[in-house]
Amino acid sequence: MKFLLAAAACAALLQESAKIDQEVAYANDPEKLQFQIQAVKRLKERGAAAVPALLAYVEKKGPHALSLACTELFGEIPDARLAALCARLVEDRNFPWRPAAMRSLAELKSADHRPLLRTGLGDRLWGVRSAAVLGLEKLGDKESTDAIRKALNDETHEVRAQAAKTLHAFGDPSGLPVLVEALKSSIAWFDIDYGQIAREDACNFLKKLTGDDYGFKAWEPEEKRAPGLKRWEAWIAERIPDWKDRIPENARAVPDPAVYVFGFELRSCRSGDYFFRIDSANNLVVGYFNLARAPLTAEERAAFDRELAKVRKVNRAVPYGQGGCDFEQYYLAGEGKRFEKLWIGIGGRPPEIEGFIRTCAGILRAKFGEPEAAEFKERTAPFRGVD
Amino acid sequence: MSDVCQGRIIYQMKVLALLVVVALAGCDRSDAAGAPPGKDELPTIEMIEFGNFEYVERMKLPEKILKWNGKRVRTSGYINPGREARGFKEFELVMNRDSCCYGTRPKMNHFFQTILKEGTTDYTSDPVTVVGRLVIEETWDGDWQLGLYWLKDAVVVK
Repeated sequence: MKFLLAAAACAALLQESAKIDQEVAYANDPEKLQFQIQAVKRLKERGAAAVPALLAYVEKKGPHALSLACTELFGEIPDARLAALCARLVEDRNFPWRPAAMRSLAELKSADHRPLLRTGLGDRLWGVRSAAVLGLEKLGDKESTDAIRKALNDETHEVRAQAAKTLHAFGDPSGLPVLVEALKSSIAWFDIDYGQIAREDACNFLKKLTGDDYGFKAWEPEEKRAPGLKRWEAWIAERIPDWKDRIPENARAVPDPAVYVFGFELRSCRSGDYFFRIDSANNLVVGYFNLARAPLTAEERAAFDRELAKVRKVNRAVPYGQGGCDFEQYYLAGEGKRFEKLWIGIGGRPPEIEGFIRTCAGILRAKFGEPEAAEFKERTAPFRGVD
Repeated sequence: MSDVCQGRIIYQMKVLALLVVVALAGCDRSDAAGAPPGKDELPTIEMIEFGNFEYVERMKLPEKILKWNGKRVRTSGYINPGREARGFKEFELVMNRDSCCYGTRPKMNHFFQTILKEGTTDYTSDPVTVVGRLVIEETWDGDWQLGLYWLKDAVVVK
């Protein structure tokens, strides 16, 4: 009888173990995307019981087999082994979801990894920097206050905003002017209003402090936002009279009246974004929140246009490469104000436009230095066509 | 969903609707699309309405959702192509760019699993309009849910 009971218990355990293995497999299966959320939810409910299977999966398949959703899951199961795994993933420069791994590490509040979080403040990916700030907040690491204050001048809104929120959590109001200033953000990328993302994020946080949005709706047109913005400015002026002087250079909202004639948008949920445009005054403009401008010489513009002509010859009616959340998109001026878009996923860039990428790298080097060109080359490399 | 978030999505959908009108005026249709019915013949539904509640498996869905079951409708959204960018017969139609393009997975009630009536289509980063028969049905593979909203016999209007 005892033997039968033990056998039954053993069978039940094996069955449960097989179930967990399947959940881990589905959480990472790129061919069964509709199961990912369900699998992640089930694994989260299992908590620590799922950890051995998660670790075994990484050991067997390698970290690059992890999905974004599964990497995010690690942050929702408090476990020192997962914290150690997240740290390993963050330190792996080739791991595709480093920002998500850092976010998970942040959520796990692992004091052992405080040094890694501090180092993360200087990471090349803004997603990692932003998550590092959050992680230091969760650890209550007030020793990092000075470093976090420096992040108020980060080139990306998300990092500046996180720094402001973290400082507020530490009882330091010095970041609030950055958030109020973000309510003015009006940066647009062709038809995408990136400013709205900043406005909405800032407003949501400030609203939590006051219990009131002062009638400011981030998605409304500028003229409708104006009265609410005035009330927010009055609110901050009451608390910090010289708030305008305290806004770091990169956090200042600068209207962008330029008219653009070409755009290159690279979005990658793995390795980070890259944006540049050419405006009608013949400037090369890099970035999307914080814009850096440099005038092109006649020779540079001619070289650019020669290569752009080759891009124009590519059939834009179809996409190239793999589908997914990593892509290059070329905005080509069409008739009137309309832009035609050429979409290229990973491994899909037609060979005839490789010269365009090389030429742009050269111009970026000449205008903004080697690090900028190196970043561009690194970000664009995964899109090179494969034979 | 917060008021702010909801407001933003509603605003985006209004912009989307405007884009759709412009697209329809252009009558630029894919091979797979065929000739969609005239604009006045079909009701237009907003995907936001279908994702505007906390969905849990096997729940009783709101009547305002269920009333569309089996109806031929027109709706707009973004194609979430999965790994294939070209020549797919089936795709997720999602309500905003975040769910299609930047790595975030849509929740079960935030996408219409769209199955084309004939032919295939390609990914585009622009919003699309799709006409199809909406089937509201929790479909399962064992204890794994395959979908909730299905847009069958669909044609894409680009």
